[in-house]
Amino acid sequence: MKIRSIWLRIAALAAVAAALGIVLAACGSDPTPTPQPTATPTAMSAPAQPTPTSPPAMEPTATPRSAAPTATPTPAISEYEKTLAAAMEEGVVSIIGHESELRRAILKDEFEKRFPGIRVEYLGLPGGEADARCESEWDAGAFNYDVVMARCTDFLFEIADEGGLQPISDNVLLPNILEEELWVGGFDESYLDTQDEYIFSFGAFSLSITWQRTDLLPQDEITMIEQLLDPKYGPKLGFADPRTDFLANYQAAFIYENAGEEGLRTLFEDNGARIFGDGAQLIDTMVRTDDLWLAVGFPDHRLKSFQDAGLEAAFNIEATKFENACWMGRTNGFVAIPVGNPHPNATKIWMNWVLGEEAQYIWSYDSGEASARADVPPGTSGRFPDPTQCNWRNFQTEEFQVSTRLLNPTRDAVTRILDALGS
Amino acid sequence: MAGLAERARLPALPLRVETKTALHLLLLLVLAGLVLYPIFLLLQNSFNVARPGQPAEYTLENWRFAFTNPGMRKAIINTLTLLITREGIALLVAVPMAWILARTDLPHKGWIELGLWVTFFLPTLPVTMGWILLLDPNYGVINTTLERLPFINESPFDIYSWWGIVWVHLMTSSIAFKAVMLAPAFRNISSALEESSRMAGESAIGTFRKIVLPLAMPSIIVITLIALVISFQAFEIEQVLGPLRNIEVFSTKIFQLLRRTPVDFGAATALAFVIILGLIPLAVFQYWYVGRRRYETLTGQFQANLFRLGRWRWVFFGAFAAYLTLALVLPSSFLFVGTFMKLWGYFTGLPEPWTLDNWREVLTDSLFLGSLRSTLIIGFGSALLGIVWFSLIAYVIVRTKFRLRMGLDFLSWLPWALPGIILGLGFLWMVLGVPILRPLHSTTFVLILIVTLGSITVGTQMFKSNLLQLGHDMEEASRISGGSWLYTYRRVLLPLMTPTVISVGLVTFVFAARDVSRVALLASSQNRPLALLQLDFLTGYNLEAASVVGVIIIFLTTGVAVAARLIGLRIGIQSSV
Repeated sequence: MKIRSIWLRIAALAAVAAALGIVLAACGSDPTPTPQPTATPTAMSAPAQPTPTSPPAMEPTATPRSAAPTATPTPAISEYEKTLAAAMEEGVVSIIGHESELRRAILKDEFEKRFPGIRVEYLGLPGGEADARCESEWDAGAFNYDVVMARCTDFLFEIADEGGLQPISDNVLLPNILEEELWVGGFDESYLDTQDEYIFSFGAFSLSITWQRTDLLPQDEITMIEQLLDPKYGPKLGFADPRTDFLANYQAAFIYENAGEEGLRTLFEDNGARIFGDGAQLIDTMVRTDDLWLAVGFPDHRLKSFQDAGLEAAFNIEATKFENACWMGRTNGFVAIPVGNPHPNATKIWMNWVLGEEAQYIWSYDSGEASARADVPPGTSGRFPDPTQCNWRNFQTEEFQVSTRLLNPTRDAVTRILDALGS
Repeated sequence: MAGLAERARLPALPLRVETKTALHLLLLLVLAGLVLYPIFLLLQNSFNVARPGQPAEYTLENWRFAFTNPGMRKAIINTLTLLITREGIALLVAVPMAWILARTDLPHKGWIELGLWVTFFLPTLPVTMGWILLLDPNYGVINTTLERLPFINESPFDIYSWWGIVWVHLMTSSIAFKAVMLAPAFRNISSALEESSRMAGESAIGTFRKIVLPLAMPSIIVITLIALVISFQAFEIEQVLGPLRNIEVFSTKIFQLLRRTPVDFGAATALAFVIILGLIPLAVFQYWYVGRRRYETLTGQFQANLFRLGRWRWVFFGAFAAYLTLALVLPSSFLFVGTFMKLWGYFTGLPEPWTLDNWREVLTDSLFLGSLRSTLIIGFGSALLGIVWFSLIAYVIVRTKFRLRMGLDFLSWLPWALPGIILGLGFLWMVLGVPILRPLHSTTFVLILIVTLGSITVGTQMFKSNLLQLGHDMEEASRISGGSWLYTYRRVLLPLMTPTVISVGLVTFVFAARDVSRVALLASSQNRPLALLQLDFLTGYNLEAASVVGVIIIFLTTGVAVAARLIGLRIGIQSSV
C-alpha cells in the first residue's frame, strides 16, 4: 500500500512536471521572427515572380530584401492556375529528402503554409539509408515519390541514364525560373547530370577546408593548404573523425588530393593532429579552450547557433581563406522527379514554388545555405561562393569527380595511419 | 451413448499431440521466416559486388575488405578487454543490487527500482555528453574544480581514455540493465529456502552463495550473455570518446563501413556475421547449462518474506542513493536543464543562457504530434505483441518436448546479434521482395514487427528464466481441478509471471520507443516515431531540441513504467516483511 502510494505520487509529480513544461513553453515569449519576404501570396495565385538581376549577388548580406517583386501576368499563368486546381484535387506531394529538420521545415512546412490545400509528405533519410531505400524500392517497383532530394545521387545518375527521370523543364510552369542569368554560375551549371536535364541544383556553396580561431591565428597567416603540415600547428589542428563524419571526410579529401597520404601521415603521426568523435566536440573544444586553432569537419551550422546565442568566442571563428584550397560549386539542394510520379500536378506546383524567389529566400535565410538564384542574398556569408577567393567546381567537372572519388581513399588512408599509430 | 463410445475409441491423445506439434512448428516457421530469410538475403548480397540494377556478380571482395581492414586486430582486442572489464564490474555490482532490491527490507526500494529503470531509459548520447562536460581534461567541471586544489597539478580524470569509456558504460545502462532484469529472478525465489538454510546454521552470505545464487544462475547467465552481445554492438560511447585516444572497437569498425560513400553494406554484413558466429557457442552453452538441472522455486509452498537488513538498511540505502546520484540524477539533470538552454551545456559566457524556445520548437514542429502518436502505437503494439509472442516461444522451449525447441531458442538470439540498420535492410529487402508482404511496406505493422524482433532475445530469455523457476504443481492442480490450458495459463501462470510480463512489456516498449536504426529504413513520412525526429535534430546539430525530444521519450517511458508498476503491484506477487 505504501509502495503503491509512492508510485502514485511519482505519477502525479511526473504529470505535473510535464504539464508545467508544456505550459511554460506555450506561454513563453514569441520566438525571434525569421525575416521573410514581405510578399504574401495566396494559395490560389502564382508565387511572386522575381525580376532577374543580371550579375550574381556576390557580396554576401544576411538581410533579405524587403520586398519581393510582384507577379506579372503571362500566358503561362493560366496553365499554372489550371495545374494548381488539379494539384488541389491531388492534395499531396511526396518527397524523399535530407533528414535535417531545418530543410524539412522549409520544404514541407513553408510550402504547406503557402498552399494550405496541398500536404507535403516528407521522408527524411540519412545518406546511407537513402541510398539503400531508393535502390531497393526502385528495383521492387515500389518507388512512389514525387520528388527526390535525398542523398542517393549514384542511384539518381543511374536511373537518369535509364530514362527514369523527367526533364525538370517539363515541370516548370513559370517562365523566368529557368532563365540563364538568374542562376549563379549560369543555368548550365544548375544540372548535376551529364544530360543537363534531370537533376537540378538550386543551391550554391563554397567549401572551406578548415575553420580557425582568428584571435589565436591571424586570418592571413595560412593561405596555402601545405601550410597546415607545419609542425607548429601540431595538436592545435583538430579533425572531426574523417572515417565517420562526411564533412570531415570531404574536407580531408582535399588535403589528401594536395598532400597525399604522406601529408595526412605528417599531420597525424608527426604533428599529433587530434581527432574528435564528432563535430559537436570539435566546436566545443574550439570555443571553450584556446587549445584548438584550426578545425577540419567544422559544423558551421552549429556555429551560427553559437553566434545567435551571443557566445563571444564564436565570433572569433571564421573560415580559413586558402588560395589553393577553396572551392565553390553547385551541388547543394538538388531536385529530381521520377517518371510516373503519383501526383504530377502537385509536384509542378511545389517545383515552381521551391525554385521561385520566395522559397529561395526562406531556404537561404533559414537553412544558412546559399541559394543559387542571383536575386537571393545568402543567409550566411561564409557559405556563399566568392569567385575572387575560390575556384569553381561544378559537379560534372573533372576536379569535382576527383574529389568525390577521393572520399573512400582518404578514409582508408586515415584508417591505415591511425592503425599504425596505436592507441 | 454411441457417440461417446465412438469418441472413446478415437486416438485422442496422439491427435492432440500432433495438433500441438503443428502449432509449435508453425511458431518455429514464422520465427524462422522473419529471422532467417532477411539474414539469407543479407548474406547473399554480401557476396554480390554489382551495382544495384546490374547483373549479380558474386565474389569474396566484401569479406576480404572487411577482414583486412587496418586496425581490426586492435579493435577486437579493445572490444574484448573493454567488454570483460565493464561486464565483470557490472555483474559484481548488479547481482547484489538485484538481490537487495528483491529480497530485503531496503527502505524506499520502490523509488530505487524506479530510479534504476529510468537510468536504463536514459538515452546514451546526451548522457555521454553530460559526462564530457564533467570529465573533459580541459574544461570538465570536476577536473577544473579539482585542479584548484593545491596538491593537484593536472586534470585527474580523462573521459577520453579506456577507463573513461568503461566508466560511462557503467554509468549508463550496464549496471542498471542487469539489476532490473535480475530483480524478478530473485523475487521468485521462495524465502522458505533461505530461511531453511539459515536455520541449518548458514550465514547470510553463505545462504546467498549456496542457495540464492545457484537458483538465480539461469537468469544471471542469460542476462550476462545478452549484455555481451549488446557490448559487441554498442558503438555510440566508443565513437564519441574513442577517437581522441585512437581507441577503436569492433562495432565502430562496422559503423565506419556504414558511413562510407556509398555505404558498404556488404562488408558491414560480413563483419556482423562474426557476431552471429560468436553467438552460436554462447547460445548452445546457455541452453545446455539451463537444461541440465531444475530451478523451480516458485511452487505452491512459495513464501515471499523479506530478509531484514537491520542496521545495514541505511548503509545499503546510501550506496543505492550514491549510485543513482551518479547514474541518474546527474545526467538526467543535465539533460533536463539542457532543454532550457540556448546552448546545451553553456551555463556561462552567454548574455541570456535560458530559453523556452527549444520546447516551443519541438512542440510546434509539424511532425511532433504524429511522431508521438507513432511512438505510442509502435511502443504499445510491440509490447503487447512481444508479451504474447515471447511467452509462447519461451513456453515451448521450457515446458514442451518439441524436438526443434533448441532451434527456436537459437533463432530467438539471432536478431539481437545483427546491428539494427543491417537487420532493417534485410527486412526491407524481404518485405519488398516477397509479393505477399509488399503491401506491408512502410506500414506501422512492419515497424511494430521489427522493433519487437529487436527485443525478442531479452523478452524470450526473461520468460524462459521465469518459467524455469515456476513449479509445475500449481499448473497441475489447476488441470486436475478441471481447468483448461487457457484457463490455467490465464488464471495461474500469468499472475505468477506478472512481474516478468510487466518487465518484458516495459523493456519492449523502451526499446521500441528508442529504436532508430531498425526503423529508419522502414518508416514512412506518416509513421516516423519520435526517435527519428530526435535524429533529425541531431543531424542539424540542434542538440537542444534533440534533448527536448529525449526528455519527452523519457517522460513517456517513465509514465509507462509507473503504470506498469501499479498494475504489477495490483496483480503480482506481494512481498511482506
